[in-house]
Amino acid sequence: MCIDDNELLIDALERRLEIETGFAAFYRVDDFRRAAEAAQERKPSVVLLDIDLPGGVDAMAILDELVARTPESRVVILTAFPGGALVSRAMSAGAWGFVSKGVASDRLIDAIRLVVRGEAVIELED
Amino acid sequence: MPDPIRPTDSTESSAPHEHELHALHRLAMVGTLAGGLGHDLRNIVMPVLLRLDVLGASPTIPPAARADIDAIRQSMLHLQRLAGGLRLLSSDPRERSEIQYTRLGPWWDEVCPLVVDALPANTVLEQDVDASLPDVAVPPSALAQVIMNLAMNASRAMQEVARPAFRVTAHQAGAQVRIDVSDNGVGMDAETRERCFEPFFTTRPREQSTGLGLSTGRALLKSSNGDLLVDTQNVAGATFVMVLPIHRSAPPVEGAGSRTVRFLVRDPRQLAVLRLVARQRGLRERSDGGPPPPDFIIGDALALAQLRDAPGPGGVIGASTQLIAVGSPDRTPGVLTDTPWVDVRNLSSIGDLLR
Repeated sequence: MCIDDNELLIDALERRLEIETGFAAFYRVDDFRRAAEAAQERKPSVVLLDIDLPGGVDAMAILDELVARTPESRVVILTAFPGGALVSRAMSAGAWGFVSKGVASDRLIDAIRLVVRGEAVIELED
Repeated sequence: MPDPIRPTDSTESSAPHEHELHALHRLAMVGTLAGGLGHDLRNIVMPVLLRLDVLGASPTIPPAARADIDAIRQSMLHLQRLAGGLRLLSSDPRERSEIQYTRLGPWWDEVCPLVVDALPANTVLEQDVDASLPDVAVPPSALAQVIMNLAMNASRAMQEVARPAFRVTAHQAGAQVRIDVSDNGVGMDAETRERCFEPFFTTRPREQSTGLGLSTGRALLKSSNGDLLVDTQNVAGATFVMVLPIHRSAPPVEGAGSRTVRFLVRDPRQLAVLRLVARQRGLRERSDGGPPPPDFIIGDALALAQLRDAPGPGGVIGASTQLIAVGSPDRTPGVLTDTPWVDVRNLSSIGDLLR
């Protein structure tokens, strides 16, 4: 499941995961305020959560809700503005992974795979 | 290398002039624009890279088109590095959210394209920033802002030079890393060298320069216990020296790969996070207890208590084995009071314990 407002990224990620084996479905979330509810219904293996959502939606609050309601869905934070404190905050709050949108695409896909496999991942530029 | 001078600090407090306020406002606006541009570029480049992956995976793509795809991917990766550089330029290094240390090799890879763009097109760039240099305790955004300012100053100084040359060399000097940045431009006269770090001091018209670049850069490095100095002996151009303290809590390299850790943690996410930090620290995971016993055993309080009460054959807990309990003593009172605790919510505290 992808919780992001960037349609270009969501479409491209869906296409990219189609050519990967092992991913059965790709879910989008239109109403970010109902994101945790949507995850609870779909129970995805991984939730990609953009930290910078529009309309004053608090992504960290969504993370808290996801951790509480669907602990079986592993959350990976995606952001175009990575920072050290943000990584700690997200990982402390229960995220399994933290990936900058500034990394190469194969590192994003690898991160998703590793998290599915049960590994925690932090992928920043360096 | 001759001793660079340390300019006198002439930052007496006085009410800022109108042109100074204007300069600050311009700087703030440029920073906001650069940050927004870097953010948007990343949001555009990642989808392009993902689509290129899809195209490249098609078995029917002709070889020539595959070469095109690879070329586009390289261009996109270059754009992505530029976006990273823009973020570094727009960030406030003093913000707590900023990463406070820098791995110089990757940092230079990211910043170098921006530096090259700032220099005259025919500039010869001589660079030596070895990836094996120790990490420095200065935020990457501060380093980027300083070197970009030096590059832009150099660019103007080299405008009339037939064969402009820009040199960036880094080397370790005791507990510091020094990055020498030099150009073969017109150089500075004695007064300019003396005053170049004064806020709002500039040799150019006010509308072209804020006069804040060098003073801000020096203040940024000083706030990390570093410094920005000017080499007074270089008469053929200008040489500045970025003095950067080494990051003390950098991961140990020597012998780290030979140290081992065993986990007795039930919660899968806690286990995953602990494994990640242990890997970053260069520890090797052991699934058995030994012999030889592991250097660290990290576990739930109950699991550690059981292990301590009934160690397995061969001495699971060695004399030098460090036991670390996961959780917090207030949550599980009375268990393992003499054992260090690690709160999985605090990544740096885990790293600190695994030294």
